[in-house]
Amino acid sequence: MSDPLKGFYEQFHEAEVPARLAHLDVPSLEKRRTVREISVWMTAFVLAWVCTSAPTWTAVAVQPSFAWTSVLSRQLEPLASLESEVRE
Amino acid sequence: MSVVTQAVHAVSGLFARAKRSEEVVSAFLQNERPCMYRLALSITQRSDLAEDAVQETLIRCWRSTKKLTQVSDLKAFCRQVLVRRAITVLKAHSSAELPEVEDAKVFGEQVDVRLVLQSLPADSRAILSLSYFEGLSYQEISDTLGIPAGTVASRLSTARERFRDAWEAK
Repeated sequence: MSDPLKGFYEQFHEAEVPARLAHLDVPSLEKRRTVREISVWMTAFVLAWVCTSAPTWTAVAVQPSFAWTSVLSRQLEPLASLESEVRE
Repeated sequence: MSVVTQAVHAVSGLFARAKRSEEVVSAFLQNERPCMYRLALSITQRSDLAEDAVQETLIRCWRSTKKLTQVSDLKAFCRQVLVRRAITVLKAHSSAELPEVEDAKVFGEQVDVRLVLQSLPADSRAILSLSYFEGLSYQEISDTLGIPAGTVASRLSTARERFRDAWEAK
């Protein structure tokens, strides 16, 4: 009995190559791929950061004793002093 | 000529040679696409998967062009990357079927052989393809797949046996 595999693999030597593969611009494809990979990593990093830090910030913000006004006044204190200096 | 001028010439010569080498690699990758596609097609037996494997291989080779300038046998290196990629792609799509139209167009009267080959594992199909389609020796297949030559002989024999059993049971 003849080997059916021989004839089967013979046909691939004449297989037509798709035109889009022959004209594929590898450098630009590689650049697009790199940009996509970087954006995926950046997104993953930001998501991980948000997920890990969100509970901390939420816990702080929802505390009844958390005085938003004092935080704001502390932040605005330098501005207030600067304003008074300018007036003087 | 001063020492500095000589050094500048030497360095610029090195850069020019490196650039030429990269151009040689780039031209090789361009010319090799049809061979890469046909090998990938003989393993995956699906044009979309073959294209995917070649595209990935070209990107990987492009990314390591500098390394490729140091490789003595470029064809063997690219074949190694391509076959491994084709096996990975094939494993990911092992259960997917080829559309009937493409079946008829690509495989003609050999559809039966293809159907039997589809029942074999991806590694067996790759080793059969390297042996029958590429006509590689055990040592060359061993280098491509990264396995000992003795293992190549036994795996090839097992793949042929599996095919024969499935073919006769058909």
